Order: sequence, then structure tokens, then C-alpha cells
Amino acid sequence: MADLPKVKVGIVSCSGEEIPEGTISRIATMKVLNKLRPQQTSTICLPLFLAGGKEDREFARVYPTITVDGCGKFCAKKATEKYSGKVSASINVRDFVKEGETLVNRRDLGQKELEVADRVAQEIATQVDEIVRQRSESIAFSQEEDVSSDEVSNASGTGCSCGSGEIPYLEIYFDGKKVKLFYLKEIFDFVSQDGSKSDDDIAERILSLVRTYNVIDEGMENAYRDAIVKEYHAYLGGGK
Amino acid sequence: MKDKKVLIIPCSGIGKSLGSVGRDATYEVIENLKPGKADTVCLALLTLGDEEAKQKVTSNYCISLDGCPKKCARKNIEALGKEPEKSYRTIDFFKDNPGKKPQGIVDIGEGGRALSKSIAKVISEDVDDLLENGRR
Repeated sequence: MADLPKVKVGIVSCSGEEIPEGTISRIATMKVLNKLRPQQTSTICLPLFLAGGKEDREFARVYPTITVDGCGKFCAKKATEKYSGKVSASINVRDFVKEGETLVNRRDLGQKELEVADRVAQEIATQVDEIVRQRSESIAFSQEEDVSSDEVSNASGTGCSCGSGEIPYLEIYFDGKKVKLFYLKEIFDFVSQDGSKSDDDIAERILSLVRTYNVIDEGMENAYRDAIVKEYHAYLGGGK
Repeated sequence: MKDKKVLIIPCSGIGKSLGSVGRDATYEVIENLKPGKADTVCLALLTLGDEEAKQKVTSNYCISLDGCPKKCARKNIEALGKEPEKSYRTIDFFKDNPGKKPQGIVDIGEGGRALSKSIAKVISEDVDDLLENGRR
């Protein structure tokens, strides 16, 4: 049976240089990437994303994202929504600072800052689990591979999306527009082998999987459904 | 201009240890070597067009410090119409000092800290030079 890619969650950290919370956002993100959820997450290099990094922007369009900001200006969230699409969850480090806690270290985090980073990392992991659960309901999610602690404890490079290569897509036409849908060919291959028979079943199955890897605007589902089913039959050579 | 400062703006690239080294070198300059003379600004805030951040960049000297050849810090500053007075890439310092190898992203290790100090030393000399002689 054809395989579909696992759902990965992109974590975008603000890394704000001026404030301790910026460093905390970064450390919490790294903890999730390297230790808490290494198989389910990847990160996006925010400066590259802002500078026009095509792969990073495409990654954030395809995969669900969690932004981690150090202050109420929400730069990571604003940037992600400006260049890629709505984020799945947004976390502000300041919501995890307890009353009376003062953060002072922005270079080498002290005990207080590390405790806040741990709280933020736990929240990111909780959000990752929820997103993966929701998105994976429609696909066969393969067993996680074991990763040794040596591999994750202090990676010199991490799961960042830069250099990850172009994400496969097909273009479909509907309503006079050309629309790019990620992993559509892989979805077609998957559905063609999974036993769905009637057009309604096939349409539901495909649409559900398309939603896993793409954003479909509200109110557009029926239009997408018709165009995708037509494309599916053409792909299989049926030409319906 | 006596009131001018030098802003060190690292990319802080999260995917590679050389991004962390640039960030660490920035803190070494602004907190230890040239406090009061050098400062930094959040790159993301600047890039998103925050007026206060833009004002800070246009009214002070700027040094960009990038972790990789993609030069995101420099590009993002230039996108605002400001050319940094100096631009560095931590990878170039590493090429000159292959023994000072950063260990990881979260903890750059002894090698990374040594590399960071080498970079900070060069940049702190730039800070003095810019404040004394201006842009040349």
C-alpha cells in the first residue's frame, strides 16, 4: 500500500534577541524538537522565513504550525500568518511566567528562566499531541521509531525545514483558477489502494486527506470535492 | 554623533549551531565587552516593520552577524533600505578557526564559546572604530 507522509508540526520560535523570553522561546522549542517530540516536529528558521526562504514558507503552508513568541508583539505568529497561513496554535512565553518571577538572563538562562522554558516546552508538546491526533485520524500513522538519547541530546543540526527539498504537489483547476495541492498524487495512490469504491466514499476519503496537508477555505469544500474527484479519475486513466 | 550606538544584529538561526554562536557573540559584545556602546534589536520585530525597531536601526550603526551563507540578518536589514556598516558570517570565523567547533544548538560547548569570543573581539574593535570614526 502506498505510504502517506507522517503529519509533522512546524514549531516557529521568535528567538527575540532583546529579551530573556526570546531565548526561552528558543530553548523551549529546541527541547521539544530534540527531546520531547523529535519525531513529530520540525522547526522553521524565522529569519530565513522572513527573508523569503521558499522551502520554509512552503513547509508552513503544508504542515500545521505552532508559534512560540516571547512577548505580546507576536512576531513569529504574525510572520507565519502573513507568509504561509493560519497557525494551529500560538504560545506566548509571558503567559507561563508566574507572578513575582523576574526574568533577567537572556544569554545563559538561569534556574528561573529554565523553569519557564520547561513549562513552555510542555505546553508545546501538549499542543503537538493534539494537532497530530486530530490530523492523523484519517491516515495510517506508522509506529514511531526509537531514537537514542545520544542522537537527540545535543544535535549540532536539528529538524529544521531549510534544505528539506520541495514538497510534492499537483495543480488542479476549478472555478477558473489553478490551485496547488500538496501530496495530491500520494493521496490518489493511497486512496486507489484502500478499498473505497463509490464516488462518494472516494470523495470523502480524498477530501479528508487533502485537508490533512492543505488548507481549504471554509465554504469551498464542495467545489474542491468535485474538482478533486474529476482529477482523481483522470489520474487513474478513467477520465470520468 | 556621541549618542549613537552600534547595533549587533545576529540571525539567531535556530537550525544550526553557528546561528547560536552568532547570538552568543552578540551578547558577549553588548553585555561584557561594550556595554552602553553596543546593543541589539529583535530581528523578527525589525523585519515585520515595527516603527521603534526601524528607528533604532536607521539612527544607529549596524553590524549584521549571520550563521550561514544565506545571510538572513543582512538581507532583512537591507530590505529596510539600510546597509549594515559591517557584515559578518560566523561560518567564515569557523573556517579560519576549525579547532573552535561548536558542539550544539542549545549548548554551543567550549569550542563554540571560544569561537564566539573570537568573533566578539573583532566586533568590539569595530564598535570602537565606528563610534570614533563613523562609517568609512
